[in-house]
Amino acid sequence: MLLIKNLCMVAFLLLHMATPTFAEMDDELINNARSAVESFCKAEFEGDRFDQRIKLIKFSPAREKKEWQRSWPESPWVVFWDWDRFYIVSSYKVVDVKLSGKRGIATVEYRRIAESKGKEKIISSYKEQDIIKIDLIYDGKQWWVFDPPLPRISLKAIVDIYKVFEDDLLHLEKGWFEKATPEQRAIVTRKMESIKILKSLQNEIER
Amino acid sequence: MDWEDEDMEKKDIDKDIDNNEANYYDDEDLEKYADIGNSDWQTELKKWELGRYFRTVEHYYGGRIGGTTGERLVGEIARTAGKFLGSGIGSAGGDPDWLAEGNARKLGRLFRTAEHYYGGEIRPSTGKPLMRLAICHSPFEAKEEKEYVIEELERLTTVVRKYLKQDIRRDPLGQPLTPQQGQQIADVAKAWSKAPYTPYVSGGKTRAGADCSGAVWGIYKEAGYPYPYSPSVTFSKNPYFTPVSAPQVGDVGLYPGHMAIYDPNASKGMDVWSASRPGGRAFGPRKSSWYLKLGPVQWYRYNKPIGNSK
Repeated sequence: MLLIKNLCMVAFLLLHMATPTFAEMDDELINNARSAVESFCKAEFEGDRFDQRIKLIKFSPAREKKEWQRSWPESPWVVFWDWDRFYIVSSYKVVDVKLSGKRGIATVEYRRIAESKGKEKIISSYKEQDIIKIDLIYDGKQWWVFDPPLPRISLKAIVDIYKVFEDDLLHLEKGWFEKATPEQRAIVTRKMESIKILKSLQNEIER
Repeated sequence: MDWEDEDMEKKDIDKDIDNNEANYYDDEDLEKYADIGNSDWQTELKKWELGRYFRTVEHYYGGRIGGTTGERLVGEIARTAGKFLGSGIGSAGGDPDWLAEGNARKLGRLFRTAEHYYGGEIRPSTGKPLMRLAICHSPFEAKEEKEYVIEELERLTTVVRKYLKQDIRRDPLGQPLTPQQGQQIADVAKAWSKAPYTPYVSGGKTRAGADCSGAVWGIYKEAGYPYPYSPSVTFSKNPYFTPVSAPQVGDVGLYPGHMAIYDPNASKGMDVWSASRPGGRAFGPRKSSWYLKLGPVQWYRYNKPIGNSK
């Protein structure tokens, strides 16, 4: 009888060692979810327009419709860093990830520097601790960021994007203003102002 | 020049032809034209029909038909067209439905091919109005007559294929845009994306403002490859473009409701040039995969008309 009892104990221990515990399974899920959030934040921080976003973001039907109205004819997943609304940040940190079944919420702490109100209207908007909740959803294969908040890009990445425009503007012909249409003048003026603001933000950070 | 302008031009030419109708029966001219082609079709066709047809062709070419190259092709086309002509060239005609069924494109190409053999200068208006002139004035209204016309078109296509020794659908002129020429188009597109930029203007076709189809048209024109303007809805029927399976630089990408110009080096990670939408961003580099939600893309390549030295 004792022998049977011991064998059962050994079998139980072996089984226990071979299969993950509920706690271990939780850890794995949380790690996967955290990894999805980290990838999402990094992609935005580095100025990803589409390639990573499409692999990390799921939209609800209502949100997708709204994004499609914003982005048409381009994909709803596309972010136009020279046109859309977004925030400019200097750092991010994934503080916490909480899961409940196939849903989850991640808390991310950003240091905000400025924001774009859309159509290249960039304004200074400092916030030392910008705490953002990001919804997550699990589809049985991977964790997705669900209906994300406004995108957040690093100052370096947005400055790099505007570097192209800065070079363009240096090559403007003499007398272009007289020849240009009001719409063209408006675009040039907006870009010049954005570059000016970005430069002053850079100077502030460096100080 | 767009199709509407061409229609106006056609009307003017019709008027000229009416005014000069007496000249079509000039025996001296007919003698001259009778030398072109082979005896088979000469026996089948009345001289005055052929003479009239050639005069019409010349009218559109802006020069006399000459040379002996491709005369059999000319003969075949003339024979078919002669059957369509009936009487009263230059009188008012209808606009048969089948023109909208892709046949216009096919015939337009046939005539452009014929021009290639003539060595004459291509004019944007030549193919389609000429075909319309030949077809619209023919007395066919019954269904069987319409079918007969389509049959004849198929026969013509076979003749052209035989002469070109290749599939007409792929490359009727044997002169699609080369990658170097495509690069010229991409270079103009790049210039449009530079300061002071090209804002979205609905119906616009210039650097000062353009929509997607207007930008493609304006860029092609500026690069030296003009074509009759087509918005995205009718672009697939434009006789100046042929569908291709894989794009090369300068090709046009047609999505449902949108158009762009392919350039694998448009910008970092971007492979097309395109306008956006009303109130949207200025013309610039984009990524072709961004448009896939619109539907599948079909690439089109410009068939460079003869006479374009670029």
